[in-house]
Amino acid sequence: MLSRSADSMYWIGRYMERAENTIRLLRVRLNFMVGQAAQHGNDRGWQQFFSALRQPPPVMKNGVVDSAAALRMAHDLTFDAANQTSISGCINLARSNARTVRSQLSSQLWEHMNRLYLRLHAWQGHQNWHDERDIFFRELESSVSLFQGLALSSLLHDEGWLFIQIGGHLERIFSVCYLLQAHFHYFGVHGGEELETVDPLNGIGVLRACNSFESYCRVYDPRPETRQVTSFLLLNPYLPNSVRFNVDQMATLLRQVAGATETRRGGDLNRISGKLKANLEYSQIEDIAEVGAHAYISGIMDSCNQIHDALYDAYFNYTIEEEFS
Amino acid sequence: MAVKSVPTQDETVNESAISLFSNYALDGTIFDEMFQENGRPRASYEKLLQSILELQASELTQRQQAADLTFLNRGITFTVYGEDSTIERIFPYDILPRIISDQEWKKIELGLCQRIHAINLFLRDAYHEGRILQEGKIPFDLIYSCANYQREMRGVKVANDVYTSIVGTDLVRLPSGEFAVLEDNLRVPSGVSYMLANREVMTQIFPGMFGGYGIKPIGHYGQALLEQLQTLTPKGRDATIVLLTPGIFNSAYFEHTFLARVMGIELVEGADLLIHDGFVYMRTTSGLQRVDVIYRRIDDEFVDPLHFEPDSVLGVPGLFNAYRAGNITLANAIGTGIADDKAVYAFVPEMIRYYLGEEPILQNIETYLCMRDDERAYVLDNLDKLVVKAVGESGGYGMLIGPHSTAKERESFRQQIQENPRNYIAQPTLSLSRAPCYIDGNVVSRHVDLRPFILYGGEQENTVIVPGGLTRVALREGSLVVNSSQGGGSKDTWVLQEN
Repeated sequence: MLSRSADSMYWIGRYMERAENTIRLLRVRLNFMVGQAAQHGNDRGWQQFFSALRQPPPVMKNGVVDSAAALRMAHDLTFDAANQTSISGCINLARSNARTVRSQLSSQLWEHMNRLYLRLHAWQGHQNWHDERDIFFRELESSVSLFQGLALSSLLHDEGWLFIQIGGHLERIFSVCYLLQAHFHYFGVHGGEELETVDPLNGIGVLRACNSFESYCRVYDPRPETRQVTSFLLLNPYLPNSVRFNVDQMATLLRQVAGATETRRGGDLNRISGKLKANLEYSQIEDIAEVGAHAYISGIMDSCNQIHDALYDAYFNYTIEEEFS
Repeated sequence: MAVKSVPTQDETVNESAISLFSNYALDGTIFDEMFQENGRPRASYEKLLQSILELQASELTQRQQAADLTFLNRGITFTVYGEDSTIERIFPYDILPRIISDQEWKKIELGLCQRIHAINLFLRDAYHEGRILQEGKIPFDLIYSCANYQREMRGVKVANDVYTSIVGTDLVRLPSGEFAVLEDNLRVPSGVSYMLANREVMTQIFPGMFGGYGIKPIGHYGQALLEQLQTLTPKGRDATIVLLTPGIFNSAYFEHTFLARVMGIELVEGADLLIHDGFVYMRTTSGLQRVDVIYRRIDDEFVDPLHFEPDSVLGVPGLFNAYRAGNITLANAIGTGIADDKAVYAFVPEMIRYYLGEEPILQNIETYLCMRDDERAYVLDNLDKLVVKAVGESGGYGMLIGPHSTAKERESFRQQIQENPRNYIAQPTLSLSRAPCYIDGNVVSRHVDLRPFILYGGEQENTVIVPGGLTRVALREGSLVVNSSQGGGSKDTWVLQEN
């Protein structure tokens, strides 16, 4: 497969996953706000929300989040195509990438992405967007899920598919990590216990934002605690949104790519992803508490950044000298 | 101008169906594709007319909308630049097909095979011995002054002596009903994907009508193109063939992706290719892979920044050296633009006589070369009647349509012609034939042309032309400009099976 095509496939995977994450966070946040609006003078939820999406913090008025301003930012996070985290930005970029690899995609998948793009643009001019936003977000969410389903069922499971999946898993790891950093960075850090009591609903919001609340209730007592939520989202081997689950999948896919391309350049990738996989597999929540969630999660993200760079070195942008030596 | 509406003989047809045609203009000086001069439908259109009359206007509108939506959802769009911002538009599509009888088609096919064969022989000659020039059949300076003449190509051996293997030639139908050649596109012709997409959409929106008509298939174009490209290298079916695109911002990008997909080859950009030791490689996830044939959709001057346009980032540095060394085949070859120069066009009938010893089957349009003093004088005296064209332009740009022009425009062209006579030719204003189109709830007649797509394999016998081509329509009433960039649309083109 052409290196540039593989690169595009990888980013299709990343941007579609990023779109899904932004959609879900927005939906959860806006719904939560409706229920909570009146109660909290200083709504930390907005700050955490923007932090989880790596967006600038919301405007404060007298030490309180200006909710009108926050809503405007939420609107931009939906429709501002210049922002690479916004839903519109992600869908545009995923579609642009898809156009360049149109010949590698199935017609079903391409047309679905194209329709999603057109649909989003149709909504943009919608007057009552705010009132109908729940329908809107649910429609988008299922559209993005359908993308995953069509990729699974209609694409040739060759390199291109592998790169889409790798991009998706890597992006999801980052999303969960940023979300946990935004909410539970204090876990295991000296003086962190005091923060734990701030918002009892925090845990539910975090789980919902990962589509994992129902799963959580099947495993734990349905009153989420920081320790258990952190453990669940980082270490659970069966939860499709946990970091460990995605690292496991990604490590397997990376080995498959190395096999499919028959190059020896994949060595670094296998080493880094294997190490990360082992770390998550043999870590317990106590180990995380010991180093602190912040440091532990930062370590995971460092490894993921290395994997991203190693992908470029191995497959997308290797040096020519290396090839002819 | 005598305009009369279409009489209908069939009393059973309902009122609303007849009113569909109430704005349909017939004009004795213009060939109508659907109706004879007496208002009766031509044999090939009888069934179509019947189908239209059986439908309500609302049904036609519904199908038009379904067709538009299909194009939009599939991303079958072209990019329009300027007008505030860059946008994607669907290529306007008219739901009524243009129909060509088997007999008419056979003549077109023979004529095009003959023409493209002669043009290839000319290209070989022009870049080698130049016999036709020495014998005075075509003036030397006409060729050497051509902007698309590539000096670097002199003496270069081109695979199988096939210079232009992928061609789109524009035909128009004269008032007599004869097809004539308006221009050849011998460099990077486009539009074939729209021909194929139009057909696909047509079969979806009018399955019943389509099925009963006996229409020659065109779906094998991708296969035929691939086979043609494979003949250009000794590796044949084992060759690595790629399609080189300028990239996603090119207005024909949809077509590039489409063709790469139907042929199952990689769609590459300049940056994906590199030259090492005189060979061309593409960068893949499995390492570098040798490339044998490049179907390039980039103009000559951008192919290799070392040899041509130095600022170009679209091409591949060093590609021309690899090409000259015979290590890579380019389709089409470099330098074919000398034969579709609009002034050289006037000499194609001469090429046919010279190389093949035959009379042209398809006629040219009468052409005045402004480089000749007497012809220029005539052109300057008759600017209000003629169509003036810049020889190197395409896409309907650089053109003056005399009868539709203002005094100011004519004055500007007069100056340009006098400053650079070599750059202009003139032709009589043609009354292109008109075909029925469904526009805003009415069936109306609009001017059309026809671009068949020719795949030349080195001889007349192994030349493939899929039956039909792209029928382009000037959607604006009275307009003669069919280019998509200037208000043109297209429609499906049916060539009927032999009875």
